[in-house]
Amino acid sequence: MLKTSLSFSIILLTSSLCAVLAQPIDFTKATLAANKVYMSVEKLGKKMVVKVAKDSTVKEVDEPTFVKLQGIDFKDGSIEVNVLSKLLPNAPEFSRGFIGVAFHIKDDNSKFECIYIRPTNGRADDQVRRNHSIQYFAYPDYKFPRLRKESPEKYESYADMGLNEWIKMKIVVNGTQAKLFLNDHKEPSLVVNDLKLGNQSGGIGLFVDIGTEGYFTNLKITK
Amino acid sequence: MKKIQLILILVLGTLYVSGQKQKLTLKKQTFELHNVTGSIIEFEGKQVLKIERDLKALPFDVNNIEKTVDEPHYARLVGLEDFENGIIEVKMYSQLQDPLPYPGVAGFIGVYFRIKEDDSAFESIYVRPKVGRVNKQLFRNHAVQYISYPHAKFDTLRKSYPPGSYEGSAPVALKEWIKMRIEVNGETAEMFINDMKYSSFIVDKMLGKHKIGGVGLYVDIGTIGYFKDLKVTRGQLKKKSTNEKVDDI
Repeated sequence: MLKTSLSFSIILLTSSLCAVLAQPIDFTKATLAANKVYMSVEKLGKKMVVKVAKDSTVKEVDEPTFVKLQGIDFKDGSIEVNVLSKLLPNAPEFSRGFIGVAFHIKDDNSKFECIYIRPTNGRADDQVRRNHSIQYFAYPDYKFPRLRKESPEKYESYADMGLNEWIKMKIVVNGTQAKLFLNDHKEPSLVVNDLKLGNQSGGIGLFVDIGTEGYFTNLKITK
Repeated sequence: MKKIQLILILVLGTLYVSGQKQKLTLKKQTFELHNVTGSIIEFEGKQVLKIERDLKALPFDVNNIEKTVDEPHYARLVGLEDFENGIIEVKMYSQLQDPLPYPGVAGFIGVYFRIKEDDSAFESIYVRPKVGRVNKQLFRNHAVQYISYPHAKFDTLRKSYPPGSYEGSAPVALKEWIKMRIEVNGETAEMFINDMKYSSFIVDKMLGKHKIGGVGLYVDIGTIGYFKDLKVTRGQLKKKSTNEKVDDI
């Protein structure tokens, strides 16, 4: 019995490794679970994309509003995905095109970490807003207002970005450190050295917040 | 005749010693050194202006940092006293002195503009190349600095405004050429690095009362700064079209 289950898990491991290492995740075959978001898998140009918008009844920000990929357990490694953000027609004025990636998500979605971007800030005429182009937070205890208040400028940063353009996000996680690389730049645009959850494994989610019509494609996970 | 020349040299020499500022000529531009030492040297095959802050002329006090940095230590472009709006571009290269005069140095290098004739006021955008790619996000976010002399130096700005109001990050590092372009327009100044399409830094409301003046190349403590290809283009005030509402998110 032990032997069977062992070999079964090896097969599982091998097949899942092949699936995650070799090719981008196929959204038509992956099991996607919408959590407090509306989701559809669509064709945009030649790309298969996942389109995501936050459930408008969720009023708070930095909530578990994501599309979670079922069957992925990620601790260290890299997550790459191309994201494009539009503003919904009814987006409130403070919408920033919030879009990003959640990781280390607990099974019941009660805890996770996330790096997201605010594309409307990237070229704003206001340096403070520009410096808020990239955000890290950890749910539920370290949402952005708390981090910004207690450790200003430590979990946020600036990078050039805009709405309606594909932006490649690559998050590299190593223990309690995460780095965000944008558009294949050699240098990271955000460095977090003390992930609040860190050193634990969990799920991966495609995250949006209020006002965003978000598109995700070419997701690759390397463990 | 030779005698007259000799006397002339002696007189000029005395003038220089008694407080005339040293001047250096690089191609068609002449620079006057204000509290910096400098020379024109060949660097990587090109003639460049090399400057370092003169700590004898303008001492630094580790116990009084803000008072003794962000001061008039720079090379002033001679013959241009009416820069108000327009574009300043220059290539700069920052290297740290060895040994370091003080551990907190960051390769400070940049541009002064709208400098009052007597150095009593100016605006500046400078970078800290040492922290441009460091592994601490807070430091990276301080890679670019705006100041307005004399009342809004870096620490005053940090204490008086929301974090990040006059600082930001940019792709800069020590020991590499950085092309800085500053577009000055009324109350705003935008800084572009290495001809990137979008500005890396914007000052939406400059703080200086003095709106017109000279242009200079700046270094602060611990920096050996090399400059070349300075180009100043004076322009007219342009009206801004966008007026996006700003809030805190």
